[in-house]
Amino acid sequence: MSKGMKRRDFFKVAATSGAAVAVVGCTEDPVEKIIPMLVPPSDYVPAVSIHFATTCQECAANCGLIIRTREGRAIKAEGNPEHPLSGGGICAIGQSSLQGMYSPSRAKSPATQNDGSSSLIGWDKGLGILSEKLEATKAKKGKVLYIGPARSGSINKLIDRFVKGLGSAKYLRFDSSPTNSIKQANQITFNKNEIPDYQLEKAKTLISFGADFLESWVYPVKLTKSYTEMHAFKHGVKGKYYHVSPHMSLTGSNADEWVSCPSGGEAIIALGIANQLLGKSKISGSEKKALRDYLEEFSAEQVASQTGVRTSKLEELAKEFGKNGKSIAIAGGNTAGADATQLQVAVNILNYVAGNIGQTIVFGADYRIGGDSTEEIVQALKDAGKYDIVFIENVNPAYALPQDSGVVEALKGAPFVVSLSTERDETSALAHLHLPTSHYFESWGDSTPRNGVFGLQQPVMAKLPMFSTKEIGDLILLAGSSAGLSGFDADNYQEYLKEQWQAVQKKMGDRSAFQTFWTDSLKKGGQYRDFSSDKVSFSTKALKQKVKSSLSVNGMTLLAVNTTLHHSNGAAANRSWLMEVPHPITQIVWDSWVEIHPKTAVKLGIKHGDLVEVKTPKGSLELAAYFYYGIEENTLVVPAGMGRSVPFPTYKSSHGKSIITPVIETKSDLRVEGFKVGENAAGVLPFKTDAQSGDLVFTSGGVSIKPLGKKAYLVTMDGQFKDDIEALEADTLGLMGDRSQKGRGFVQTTTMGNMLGHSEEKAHGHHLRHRLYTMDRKDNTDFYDPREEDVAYHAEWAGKKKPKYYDPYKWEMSIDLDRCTGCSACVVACYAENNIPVVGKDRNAVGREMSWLRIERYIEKNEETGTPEIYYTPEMCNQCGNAGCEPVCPVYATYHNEDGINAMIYNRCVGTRYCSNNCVYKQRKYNWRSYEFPSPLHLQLNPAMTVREMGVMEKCNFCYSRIREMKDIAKDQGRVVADSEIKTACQQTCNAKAITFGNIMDKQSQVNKIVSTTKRGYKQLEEVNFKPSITYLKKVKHNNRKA
Amino acid sequence: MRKILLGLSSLIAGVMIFYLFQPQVAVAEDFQQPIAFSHKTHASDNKVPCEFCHIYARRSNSSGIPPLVTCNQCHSVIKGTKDDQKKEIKKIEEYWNKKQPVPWKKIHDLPDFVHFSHKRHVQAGFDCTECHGEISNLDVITMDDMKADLSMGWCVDCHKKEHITSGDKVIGQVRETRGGPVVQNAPQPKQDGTLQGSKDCYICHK
Repeated sequence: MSKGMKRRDFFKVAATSGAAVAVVGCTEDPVEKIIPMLVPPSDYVPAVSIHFATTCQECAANCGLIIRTREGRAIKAEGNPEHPLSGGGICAIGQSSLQGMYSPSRAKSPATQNDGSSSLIGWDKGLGILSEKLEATKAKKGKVLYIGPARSGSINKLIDRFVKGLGSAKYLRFDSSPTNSIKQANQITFNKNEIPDYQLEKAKTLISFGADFLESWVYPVKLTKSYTEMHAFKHGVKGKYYHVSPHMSLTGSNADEWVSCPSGGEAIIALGIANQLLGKSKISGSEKKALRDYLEEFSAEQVASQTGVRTSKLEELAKEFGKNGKSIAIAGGNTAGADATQLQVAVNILNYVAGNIGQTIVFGADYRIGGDSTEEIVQALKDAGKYDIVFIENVNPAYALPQDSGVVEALKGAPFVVSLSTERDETSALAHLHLPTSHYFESWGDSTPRNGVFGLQQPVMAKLPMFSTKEIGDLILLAGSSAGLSGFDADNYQEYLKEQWQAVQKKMGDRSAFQTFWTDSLKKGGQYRDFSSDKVSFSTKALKQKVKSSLSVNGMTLLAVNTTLHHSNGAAANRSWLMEVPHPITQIVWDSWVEIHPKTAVKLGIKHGDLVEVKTPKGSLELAAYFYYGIEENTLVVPAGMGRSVPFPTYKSSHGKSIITPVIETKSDLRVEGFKVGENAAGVLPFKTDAQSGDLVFTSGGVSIKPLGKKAYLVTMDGQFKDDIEALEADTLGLMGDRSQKGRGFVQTTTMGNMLGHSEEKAHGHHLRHRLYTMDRKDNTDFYDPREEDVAYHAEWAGKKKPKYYDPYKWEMSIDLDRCTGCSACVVACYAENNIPVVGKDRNAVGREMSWLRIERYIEKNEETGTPEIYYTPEMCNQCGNAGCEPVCPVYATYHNEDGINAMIYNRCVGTRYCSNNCVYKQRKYNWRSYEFPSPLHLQLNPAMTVREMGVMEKCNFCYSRIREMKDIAKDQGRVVADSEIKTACQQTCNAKAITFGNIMDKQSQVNKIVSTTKRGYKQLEEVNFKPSITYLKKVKHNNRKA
Repeated sequence: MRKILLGLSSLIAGVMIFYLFQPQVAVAEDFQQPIAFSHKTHASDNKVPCEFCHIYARRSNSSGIPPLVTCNQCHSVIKGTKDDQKKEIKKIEEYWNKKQPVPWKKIHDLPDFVHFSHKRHVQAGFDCTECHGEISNLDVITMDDMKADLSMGWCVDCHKKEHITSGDKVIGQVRETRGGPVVQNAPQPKQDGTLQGSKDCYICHK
């Protein structure tokens, strides 16, 4: 002890404060209530999960969902394995749909609004006002406008009849995604106005002209599935994928090669490839001649001079693409620009010349993706003043359309606007009457996303009591009958839907009793069958489309892009999971940003992380500059769909920093108030639509960018700290740092040649070149005993009974990095499953994120081409057999369980954080606070998982609650758990099927087969000998040019 | 220095003790139930088996508190004999007419981080009374009447024991029904094995 204090004094101090702490630690819980149901449903059992099949309404692709409920509350959304579109997985936005239902910004009850002030009125009064208006309109045969979301169900017919019964009416479906150009172009080229079935799995070569099909383009979930079928290494085969775009999006980063081209140059390149292929094409006669004339001006030289793509590259593309109908080209999405239909026509011509039509692109499916022409909707909204009633249901044009479109002003001048939206959003704020509809998890409905798929949407739980809402179907039925229209006499929408489904039963050729058919449909989530394919023929009309063979450049080009986490319709932009999960490429959280090429930025005096002003002809944004080589030098990219101005929890600490005592945050301290995250990129675009299809244009020319002389508050989760910038491999251009793996070999690659036994293992050595130590023990023995033997030895020594290890289970996982696309749906699923708190931007900035599963992203430079190569790897606790965390825990809070899980006992943990310091994978997350789940988001919490409090460590436990649940069921049935009965949350949602999980002790299990037979398995940081349970499979490259 | 430190530690102790008297600590009155339900009247006097009302005990982690419809099914006919019975039974009718569930208070309350399976224990042959005590003899249940404190030590003690079984079921006193009166002089089944609970922390900690 030091001079000032004697030993005895120390004990006195220690004893008194220790006693106090002990006393406080043992206070009892307050009394809890236990409230049973009034009359439980016959199949209800408390503490047992009940699953309901329903249909996702986040986008018009309408994937099938299975919603897990506990005690009558929906707690997890999963893909429906029987559904032909989703086939078991769903996307990140679909995962977050639960936060849409439990959203704190939902409208509480019907309200009238006048000049910004709103008053809650209840349903009786609300419906009274509505029916008065309806009767008046009907009496004078007035004009009615109804804008609803893009969807394909029986509700369309009902709404159509409702509005048309009132007078002269327009019913339009709004979806900001540009998809009409696809239909329009197919009409021009093939006389078929539909979105066809893109069968990527049949192709050997895929070229995407800016279509982000893994993120947002048409039906991304299904396309991710069929893309991995085509592109993932299997039985010695692997397809090739080229991405031609000014921007290397997440989708583009998965390509074998990203071909950079200026914005608007895609169509020229497509026709350039078609030109090269025409000679070998099976097309003959006059058609060939017409095509030759048409393609003449797109010679390799001309294309190269216009787009900067070398002729050798064009020849390579043409060579790879000429596969006799075994290739596919797709295009579109937000990067398509102002001539979207022309681009689609060009790609159609390319596919036709390559013989892909009817092979990889099959017509007859008629996907009902996307809404009506945005041009038409904006025109209708601008004329809002001429309509007696304007209905707007669950779409947000006031947010999603450029301010320049004049929609907001027009709506303000409309005589009577009724909002039927679930949330209080920018558009419903402009309404005179807001009648909130229930969330789709609380409503009946159906959908027909393509021919032969009839999805059924059933309520998965009772309507949330804190929100007074009505189902949209019920509301339309009520409104229709109160206006005295005929055909609205069904008791409720469920009855109406049943009537409609009698027709579905006929279509399906089902002859059972209707009730049987209905119950069966509810169980399966709908009825599914294949579509019959239609033959189409090429129409030379298409050749009248003149694609400009030269590009005019005016300033910089801004692209407002969708990502897996952000969509331009903005519906997901107030869901805290999607804000908290880092954007896969930039790793930015809680903000929007502008991606800029480092060379351009340095020229303009901009450094990485600077606050910059991006000026379009119609507005400006203040954003953080993010340096990125995956972008064309004259292009800027901003994510669309952020910058909503609706209240949602701030997740900000309300306390300042305190030096002496730790800050204790209680519930009353937490503020839930409106704040804005990021900027709305679509808002500042000049309003423009594609002339032929009316698709909204998400690009803008004439853009300038300038630094504002300040650093932005930019939070990236890839560990780009100051030290990195000074690292050996750091890119010093604009201080963007080092985003590489720094030689640690987390993501390892191999080549096709190596897999087929043609070449030496080169990639491996390359990746490990910085390693200072390896595990090359000459005698090939292990330094440690196997765990079972080790434990048995110690138990015997202590005279105890030997515990059983790994009998009959040891849970292991394999992750195929050749399949993982980095989409981050698994990360959102993990947040949902495991009650992981959202911590907000401030805490993310100091590295206090709580995610158990992260998509780690590494950017390395291709030494040959100079383009960036992006690698993704899902990182979670490896459940090491010889873990670093376990032996250092002073209180045995973490230990190795019999099933091989590094168990974490929260209430045993005292928070020393030794385990975290000793984990080489840095997978342990410490609760620096007791984080809040603001009401009603807390209703989503999974009761099978503890909600952790301040001061404890936590981490992934392979979804042990799911393991426990399945083991329990198996035990009831007197058997062991069968293979693939347990799916972890991340595995369940993975569209690419990258994750396999199971019992490694079962020789027949899928994971055992993969781990024991693969030639490309490796463990991360194997040399530290933690014996991780996760086997990663190396990414397979076509050649060794990469990284 | 010494004074300051002693003072500081007493101050901390004082603050902590102050928090001790904050109202978050449960006291006996807090456990007053909305209806004076008597387990004795039901389970003992009228020999209603435990699982007649707690129907999920055998098939779920949670034994379940009977829904109001269960109470009402009998008590729409049985109106009680004594005045105080009539008064309490009338409350059921009132709740039923209001279509409101009864906000019972939880006595046997496990911490939220604990996973406990009624099903597993009931199926292994344990009787309700082994953990809950002779509830059927009690008119009012309070914390003081609990047989076990439901602490971790108590759980682990039992999981360490080798329970004697017959036909895979734990042998105990023979009862008329689960939780019901003990049958005196009943023949004991033949012992053929033992059963021991798991000692993996993850069995209970979730």
